[in-house]
Amino acid sequence: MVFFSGWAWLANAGGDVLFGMFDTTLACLSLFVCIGITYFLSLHYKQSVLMPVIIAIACFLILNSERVDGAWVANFFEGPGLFAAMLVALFVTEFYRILIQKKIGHIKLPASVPEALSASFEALVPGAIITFVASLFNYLLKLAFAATLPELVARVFKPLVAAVDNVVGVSLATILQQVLWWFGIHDTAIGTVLEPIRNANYAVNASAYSAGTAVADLPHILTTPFWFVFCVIGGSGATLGLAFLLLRAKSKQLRTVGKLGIVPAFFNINEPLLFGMPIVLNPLFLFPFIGAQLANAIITYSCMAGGLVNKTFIEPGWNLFAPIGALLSTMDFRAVILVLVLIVLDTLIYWPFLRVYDKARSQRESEEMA
Amino acid sequence: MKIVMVCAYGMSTSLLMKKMNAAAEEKGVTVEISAHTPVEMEEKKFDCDIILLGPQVAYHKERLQTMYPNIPVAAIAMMDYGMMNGEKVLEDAIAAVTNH
Repeated sequence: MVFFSGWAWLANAGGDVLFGMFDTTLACLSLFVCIGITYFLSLHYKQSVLMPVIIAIACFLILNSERVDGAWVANFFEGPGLFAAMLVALFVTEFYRILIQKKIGHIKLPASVPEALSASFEALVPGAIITFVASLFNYLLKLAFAATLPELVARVFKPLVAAVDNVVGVSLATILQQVLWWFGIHDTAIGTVLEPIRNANYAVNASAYSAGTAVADLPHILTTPFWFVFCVIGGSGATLGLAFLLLRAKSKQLRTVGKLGIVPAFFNINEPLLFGMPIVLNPLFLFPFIGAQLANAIITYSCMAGGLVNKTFIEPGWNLFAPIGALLSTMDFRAVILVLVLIVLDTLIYWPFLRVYDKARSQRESEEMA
Repeated sequence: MKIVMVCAYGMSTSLLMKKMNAAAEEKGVTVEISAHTPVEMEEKKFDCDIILLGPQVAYHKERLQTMYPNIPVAAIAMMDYGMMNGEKVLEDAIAAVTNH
């Protein structure tokens, strides 16, 4: 009894400590993204960085929050405010850049004033103009739509997110990614389009879970961990199983690629396989390269939609060994079983193609030796 | 010789980097190699003699060449990259710098 009451005390006390961390980190994701985009975009434009970041925080508070009884409403600090936070960052940085470039609101001080001092005046009027426009815009939105920016953005983005977060959308995304990779182009080229949606979906799931939503009722399936833990097992094309097969290949070259590729493959890195076998531009592997990952996506999606496996609500990072990532992202041991089944399936999909390729390769190698 | 390598996350090039360092030591060449992402390449200007791109990010070549007009910017051959052939990549890099 003493143990259990002690445990309850620890859980209570520990909960406060952990929630203190959660509320100020993941639950402020949108604010951090707003700061991050403003920071890097300002660096990119080679303009001053601190002032745009401060103005962006101010505009974030104006548009993504409001003050009630002296406290900031934090609903849209987390996942659901993500798209609006990006818009705020882009708006502030671009607006600031134009104002500075056109010298609008530039206060000209006599040449005798030290430069550091005149620089601090430079942002004064632009800052006032931008926050004024943001505040006016916020007022007009409320007047016209009776809604705030993040609420409106959510309304606009809902059909788009819904268009991707289903079996067909996910399948098309993985096919497109694999075709690009087959031509040797890294998938960040399309990932940049999908990533905001995947990340926002994950953040929405995380927020819903922390608010007490049952795992089965979490709103999204297509999330960042869905993609990297369940679809891309061992790297683009789900090549972890293939890396194992290569270790036992007859061809010396393919065995070497296997030895080089197996350890990175555990962490979802497979450039040695893609370029060393090669898979890239190799017509023989086009089918399994698209098919294996597509199978993973469809099966995982169906399992999550049917409630056989928990949806993801924790993001363990893209380069974690898949079975561990599966457990961490869903807190569900059934997800581990699913990933193991998928690895076996991927191996079977690659197997006949590798056998043909291995035969041809080893034959050529022995001819070269002779 | 200072070599800057670029790939999507700076991960797979760091594998190759190790092999190149080993090859350089064997040859008795002094090289300083670092791996970066395309975003990092945007953020600051690197002091180097050559930039090598992983084949999966070779499409950044033109842009980087305009940023660094005075040094060679080259994509690593696919097979050398996949086989992590550090020796070959290093030899090619040295040749590119001397012939530039």
